[in-house]
Amino acid sequence: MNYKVALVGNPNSGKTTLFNCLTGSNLYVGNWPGVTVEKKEGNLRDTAKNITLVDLPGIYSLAPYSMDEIVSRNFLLEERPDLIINIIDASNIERNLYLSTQLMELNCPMVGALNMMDVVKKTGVEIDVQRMEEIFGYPFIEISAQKETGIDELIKLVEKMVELDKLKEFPQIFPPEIMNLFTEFGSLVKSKYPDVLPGYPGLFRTIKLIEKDEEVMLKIDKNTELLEAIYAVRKKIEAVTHHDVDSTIADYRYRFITEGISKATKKTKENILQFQDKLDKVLMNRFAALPIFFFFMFVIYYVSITLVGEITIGGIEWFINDVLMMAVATGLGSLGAADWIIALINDGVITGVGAVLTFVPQLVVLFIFISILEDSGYMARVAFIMDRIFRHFGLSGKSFIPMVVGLGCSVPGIMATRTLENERERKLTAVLTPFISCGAKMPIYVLMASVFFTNYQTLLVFSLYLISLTVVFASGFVLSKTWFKGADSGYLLEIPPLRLPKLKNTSTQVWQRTKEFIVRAGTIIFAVSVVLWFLQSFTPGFQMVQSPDESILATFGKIIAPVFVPLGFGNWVASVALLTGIAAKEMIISTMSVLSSGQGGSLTENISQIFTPVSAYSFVIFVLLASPCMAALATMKKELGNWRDFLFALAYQIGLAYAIAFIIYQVGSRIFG
Amino acid sequence: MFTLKDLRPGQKACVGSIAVEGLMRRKLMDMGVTPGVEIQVNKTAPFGDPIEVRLRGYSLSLRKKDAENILMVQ
Repeated sequence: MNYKVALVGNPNSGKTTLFNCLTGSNLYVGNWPGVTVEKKEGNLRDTAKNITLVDLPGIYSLAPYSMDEIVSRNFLLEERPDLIINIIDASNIERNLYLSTQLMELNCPMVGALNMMDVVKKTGVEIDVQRMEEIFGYPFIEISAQKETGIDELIKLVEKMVELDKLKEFPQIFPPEIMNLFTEFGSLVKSKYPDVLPGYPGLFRTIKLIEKDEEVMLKIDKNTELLEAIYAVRKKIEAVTHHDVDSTIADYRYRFITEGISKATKKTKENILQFQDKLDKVLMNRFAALPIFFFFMFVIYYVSITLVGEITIGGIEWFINDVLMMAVATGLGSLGAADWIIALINDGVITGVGAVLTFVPQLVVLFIFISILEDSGYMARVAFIMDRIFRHFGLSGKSFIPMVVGLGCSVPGIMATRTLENERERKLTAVLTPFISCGAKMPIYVLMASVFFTNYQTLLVFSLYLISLTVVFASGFVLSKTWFKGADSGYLLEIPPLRLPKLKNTSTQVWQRTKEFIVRAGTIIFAVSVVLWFLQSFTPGFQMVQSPDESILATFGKIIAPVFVPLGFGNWVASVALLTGIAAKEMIISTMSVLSSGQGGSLTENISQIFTPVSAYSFVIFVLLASPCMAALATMKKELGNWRDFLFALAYQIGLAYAIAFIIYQVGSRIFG
Repeated sequence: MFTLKDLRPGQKACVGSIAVEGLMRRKLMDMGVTPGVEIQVNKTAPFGDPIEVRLRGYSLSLRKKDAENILMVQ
């Protein structure tokens, strides 16, 4: 027997951390609402039974407002799990139980996991789990996913619960006079309209019809008789309660909850988290908020690029060039390997892959900072601070979160746009997120900066981030009035408490992101480096080249190079690098390394020959803004949902990059010669 | 009659009714902004909007134009 258990809860209630505890896997966790935007599966650990755990996106209710909410709701309705683990942030128990009252209508066995009990106990609150079970009709367990307490008990309870086949009835949330109206309407639907949502649980179907839930309405749109029946029952409810139906239903749910928890919880002492409060006051201070934010960003890039770079890059280059390549040359040479094999390994593989791996320490530090930002709860605060500004540019403060994630990699950044309810804002954010420079582009800036702008490295990289922010805002302003026109959906965002980032979460995230980077270096970059080496070592007539200028690659590069002449980098090396960069942005550096090793001389020497400072700047701007790598493009296509928007976005990104690089080169070369 | 927008940081009052229709109304209710609940304004964002309020033991931020539609009673 294979059991399916769904993990359901509010955004930011610790679902993903609990999922990792229960399965032993290492998913990505952050302290902002909406980290899980797609469902993920894993096997429950420490059990003889076959139990699949499904981590669903966090939702506040079973109403379908945003895409991640629809994912969760459809799973619960269509795949009918054997058990729901309802994770509840016990430090925010009232709001969290609101979802529980809706889950109770799904006719599915449920376990309540009261999470963050360590925090709750510190604030002097005691929860009587026995009482909770009596009131809400399903068992609760106190846990702390972060401290990993109560996990074994939870696993045992899950094992027991999936076996029970008799479902215990959930208590009634609504008063008898309302419940009677529900039942009456429910049996009317059942007898007269058996075809309406037949698979849905009875009470859930009744309430969703009465609420005129958007998704449900789509399925009955032509049924005027049923619509009239809905209208009639709504009138009756309003006559009883003297309030409109929506606020009545929400109100009864919350009343049931407040009454219940007043019986089951006890406050033993007054304890307000004063330190967090004070810190919050400083971080969100009227005058200091924005300077603090830019200060953080500057420190992040100064430390990861300049400080760490100075310490590590020289050593890694020395190891690759003077140790590894020498060893390969002498080792393979003594075994009698042909010169071309040694050249393939040294000038192709090691040069290409090594050029990317050189930057691993800097990326690790960058990823550590991003992960701390995410874990601490600072992101939601920045969204709060920025909303006023973002609104003027057709976005909301929430658009900021995908963009900060995009600093690491555009792919999860674009996926994070799903937390935005409004389709227009969501698509616009998905198109703008790639303008935020991802981690893989950073090595290119660092390389160019170290060759041409030695004394101003951090400043140069920082200027790029300012340019990318400007482009995001300007594009948002223009596109929200043209291509992505429409109303905004409003802004409503939970501000989670500030938390000290946990070492385990941070290291998990950093490891995952770094691993992805290294895996790409070992696979795609390895393969492309080998192909590149062949293409630049042979002429179109398949003869070994005398000079790389005669190679297949050069011939091809020279065909496209003229396109980039107006931008200042109309040489075949840069053109080929940009093309391979479509596969992965790190490829740009690898390509240049492989090609310059073919031409003799070091990478920096070759770069200083084919670029001037102005054309180098124009080149990095083009790399920064032009369309992202294949993986990000595929994600963008998926999130936009249609070819029309996708092709427009592609044309817009490339066109804008070309135009800005053009202006920078044309103006810059006239000023600086 | 006064609205949530009229409260200054530190002040609190109870929700009377919500004078906004559609999606925003439902979302506010889901987030616990229902008639009778006590809301305290915590702070205003550095640029004057949105505001952060505290209700039902957690913090929520919303724009002033939506706060203006939440009618309050003492």
